[in-house]
Order: sequence, then C-alpha cells, then structure tokens
Amino acid sequence: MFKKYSDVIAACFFMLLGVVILALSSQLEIKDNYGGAALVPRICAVVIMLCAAKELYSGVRGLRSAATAEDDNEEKETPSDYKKVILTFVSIVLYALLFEKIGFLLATFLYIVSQAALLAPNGTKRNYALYVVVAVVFSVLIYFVFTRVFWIMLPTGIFR
Amino acid sequence: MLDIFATGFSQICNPEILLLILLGVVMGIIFGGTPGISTSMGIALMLPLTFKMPLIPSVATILGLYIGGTSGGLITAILLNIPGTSSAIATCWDGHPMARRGEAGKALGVGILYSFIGGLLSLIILFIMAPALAKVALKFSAIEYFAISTFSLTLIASVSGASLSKGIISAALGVAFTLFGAAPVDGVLRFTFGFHGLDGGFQLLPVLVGIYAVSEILKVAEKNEPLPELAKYKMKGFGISWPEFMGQIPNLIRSTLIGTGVGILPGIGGGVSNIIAYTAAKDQSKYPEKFGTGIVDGIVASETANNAVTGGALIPLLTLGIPGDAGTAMLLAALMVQGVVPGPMLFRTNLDIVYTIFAIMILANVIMIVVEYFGIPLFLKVLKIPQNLLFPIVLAMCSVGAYASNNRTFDVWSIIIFAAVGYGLSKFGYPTSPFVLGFILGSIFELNLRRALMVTNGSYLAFFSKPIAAGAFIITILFVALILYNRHKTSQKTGKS
Repeated sequence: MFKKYSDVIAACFFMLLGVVILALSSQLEIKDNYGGAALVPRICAVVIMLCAAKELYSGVRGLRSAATAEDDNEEKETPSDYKKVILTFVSIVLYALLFEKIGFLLATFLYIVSQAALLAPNGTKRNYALYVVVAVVFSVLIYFVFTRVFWIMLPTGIFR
Repeated sequence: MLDIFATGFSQICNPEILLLILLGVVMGIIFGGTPGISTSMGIALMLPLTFKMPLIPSVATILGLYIGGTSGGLITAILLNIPGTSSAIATCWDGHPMARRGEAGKALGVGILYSFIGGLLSLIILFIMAPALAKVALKFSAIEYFAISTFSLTLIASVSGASLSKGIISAALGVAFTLFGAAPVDGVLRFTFGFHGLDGGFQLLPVLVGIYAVSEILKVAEKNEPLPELAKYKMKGFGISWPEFMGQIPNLIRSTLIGTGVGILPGIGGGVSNIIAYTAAKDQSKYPEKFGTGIVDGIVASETANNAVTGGALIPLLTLGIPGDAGTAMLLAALMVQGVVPGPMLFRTNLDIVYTIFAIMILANVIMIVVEYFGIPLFLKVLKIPQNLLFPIVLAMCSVGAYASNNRTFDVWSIIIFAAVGYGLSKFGYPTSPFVLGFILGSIFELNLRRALMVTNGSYLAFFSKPIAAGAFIITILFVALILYNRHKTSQKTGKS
C-alpha cells in the first residue's frame, strides 16, 4: 500500500518544498545584479520542482499500471515495524531534550536501557539486568573519556 | 620526493601513532564486518574522539578505520552471505558459494590478499596523480571550481539509485541545506527565522552522523533480523597458488583501475566499484558461466576494486577538497576541525601533511593484512554482541561528539533533523549519497558560481571560454545523456520481456 503511493506522495512534497523555497527567497535582500543571495536558492527550487514534476508524472503512470498488475515482491521481505521506528525516534529526541536538563550521565543511562530494550529482536527475552549493567558501564566510561582524557565539558545536570 | 616520503614516515614512526592506526584498523574491520553497522558509522563514532588530538594522530585513526572498514566487509560476505558493507556485495557472489563448498579458508585468504594488493596499487596511482593534478588545480579559477562541482553533483545524482530525477532532487536538497545562515560573498542572512543557532548554518559533522549513523539505527528498528548461521572455515596461507596468482594478474590490473577510477569520481565509493569490477571480470572471462558458482576470480575482482577505491578517493579530496566517497568525507570533516583545508594549496603550504597521509595509508594497509589474517576468530566473537546493545552506545557517543564539537545542543538537534531526513529519503526510495555530497559541495558551488558571475559580468556563456570548465560541462551533459539512454534501453528490454 505504502509502496504504491510513495512516489506520488514524495513528488508532491518536493513540489511544495520548491514553492516554499521560491517564496522565501523572494524576500531576501539582493545586493548585486546577478541574483545575489537568492540565486542559488532559486536554482535549487527550480531543479527540485522540475524533477518532482517528472517523478509525479511517472508516479501517476505507475499507479495506473499497478492497478492492473499486482506486486508480489512485497510478501517476501521482512515486515516493517514502524512502531519501533517511531519509539526509537522519540527516545532519541527525549535523550537530546534531557541531555542538558538532567545531565549527560543520567540521560545516557536511561537512553541506553530503553533503546536496548526497544531494539531487542521480537520473540527474544529482554535481559534488563544486562542492559542496566551495560548502560552504567558505558555512560560512565564515555563520560570519563570525554571529560578527563579530552577535557570536554559535558552537562552535569543534577549531579552538579 | 623520496626525502619528503622519509619525512612522512618519520612523522608516524612512533608507538602512539602506530597504536592509533592499529586501533583504527581493528575498529574499522569490526564496523565494516558487522552487518547493519557501516564503516561510515564507525568513523562518525570515532570522529569526536579525534577532535582534541593533534593533527597526525587524528588522521591516523580515521585512515586506519577507513582502510580496515573497506576490507572488513569480506569476512561476513564470505561466511554469512551478508556483506558487512556495501563494498563487499559482489564478494558474496562467489565467496559464499566457496564457503558452502568447504573452501571458506581459501576465499577469506584470497579476499584479504587482494584487498591488500588493490589498496597498495591504488596508492601508487595516488602518489603519481595527486601532485600533478594539484599543480593543474592551482590554476583553477572560480569558473573551473563551479564547473567541477556541477559535474560532481550531476555524476553522483545519476549513478546512485534507480531514478535520475530522484538523485538530482536528493543532491539539490543537500545543496539547499547549506543555504541556511550567512550567504557567501555578501553575508546576507538567509532562512534563519530569527533563530541565532542557524546564523552559522549547519555543520558537516551532524549531517554525517545523522545520515550515516542515526538514520541507520532507525532502519534497524524497522527491520530487525537475527543473523544466520556462520559457515565453518580453516585458513592455511592465502589459499592461492603461484600459477593461480599469475592467472589473475589481468583481472587484478583491471579491477585496480576500475576501483581507483570510481574512487576518483566524487561521491561514488566502494559500493559501486566492486559490482562494476565483478561485472567486467565476468564479461572479459573465458568462462563467464562459472561466475557465481564459487571461483576466486569473483573475489579477486570485488576485493581488489573496493580497496583500490581508497587511494582513488583521496585524489579529489587532497587536490580539490572534494571527497571521493563517504569515508573521505569523514576525513574532510576531521581535517577541517583541525584547521586544515584540503585543496591544491595543501601541496604548496603543507606538503608534509600530504606525505604523512600517504605514509599512514601504506602502513594501514600493511597492518590491515596482518590483523585481518590473524584476527578473524576474534572478529567472529565480536559479531555475537547483540546489536540492540551496540546501537544505543554508538548513538550516545555520536551525540556527545556532536555536542562537544561546538559545545551547543543545537548540533545534537541537527543530528536528529538529518537522521529524519536520511531515513525519510531512503524510505521513499531517494538515494542519500547525493544529499551528502550536495551538502559538502553546496557552499563551493554557490561561492564559485557567484564569483564567476562577477568575473564574467553575469554572462553564463562566458563560462565556456575556459577550456577545463567547458570540458567539464560537456562531459556532464554527455554523461547524463548516456545514463538516460542506457536506462531507456533497459526499461524497453524489461518491458518486452
């Protein structure tokens, strides 16, 4: 289902992106006679829109032919687990948010434990004790390598 | 020239540097050899650690990783039938059938030996070509730089992925991401929306980490497959007899030239070269029907070509500042952090750095063949570390690295933005390598286009008055025409069948 419409969706998105870049670059201050700071943004926008138009055309044509011939390749692939993708993305965003708030050590510990549990292959037992040990060891190790060997300050957060 | 070489070697002949090259090679083989974790991810992980090192140690670590990683993919390609990196795709085709027949030891031996030879031969080409090319490049004006960056972007857009328009969109999007912040030439602030973090634009490191490390983790989350059973192996020598070796010489030379050539072309790396070399070896062979059934010719072609890329890819990086593949893009990031800007001037002002890089490359290849030959049992143990533990640690290291490079959380957010862009692009069937090269070349493209227009008073036609620039434009057009013609022909063929 996704595969069927993905080309058309992406082409429409890039078409829109081209329009947005054009609109934004028209507000730029131009200091020379050759397009100034807006020249390359406009080139990018036009190139993106032209190629997106071509993709839209072949995508719509593909939709028509796909309606008659069913795609049987999809079944052989491993099914995509989008819930895991979204949860992984959310945990990375949370990690970045917490990084400065609660400090590197605690944020990294929490992140490693939750991400390890999340990425465990389906059907296998989750060994939380191992995740906790690995998370403690590596968050402390990374912290010490960066702060004591390379003298890079990391957010200390609540361990101030 | 020999004395400069001696200086190069004297710079690296100390235990610290040797240890760092060894560390790099070992890490590289592990990252290159582990399916799902790419060499680029390994370099992205180590980059932040190199920031605070002096120049030579940091370059030694990165180049060790690059050489080890390019070759490491052959282990899993042969024993598991899964290429550890895209450089080893064609190694699977004959390597695994050999392993299934009980000849895994021979397949590994041949793969390792030819990785080494391919790498060294490409270095010789590098030594000869780079200084000569740098001399020519010194005379380049903005027009030539603009022409070459246009050529590079078109080239990568047309060879990566199945659709030319998707490749071009990806490259243009990469260029678009360089437009944030102050414009070159006149410093007009663009697309910052009042957000000061964007004034300086996006940095290269978060882009590389986001695309090559984090978006890969998202892909693993989407499809998490356990590894299949390993084939058994036993190694004795390199498994190849003298007559066999002599018989492979034409294949070796052809594959080296293909690998180095692909490496020189900007943005295309080992992932393409091994397949082209394999196909060429098959086409030229007296027994093409045997390819794929487990013959050494296939492994020789693939492994020679992918390692020959390493010397080739350094040529445009050192002479023009344009990286030849993902690994050299990482090296570019490392050099820029150290304040070294690769380009023709490097050969004038910092010739010692150039020759130290050459010396490190030679040594890394020697260390690679030794470590890989004796270390396989160890690497197979590393392979058993569950990926769900490895990935979070990699990500944590990358985020610290991005944060540490400027001490601001904005760069950590940039990683997340580029991870989403990278994942989104590949999800919708858009290749990511044009995006990365677009980002790297975007500022070179814009700066030189605007300078060139000032020189020619706004005339685009005047660009063709410079022979090198005109040549680059004509080759670009011919190349696109050729690609379109070939695609048209293949689509007609498949349509008929």
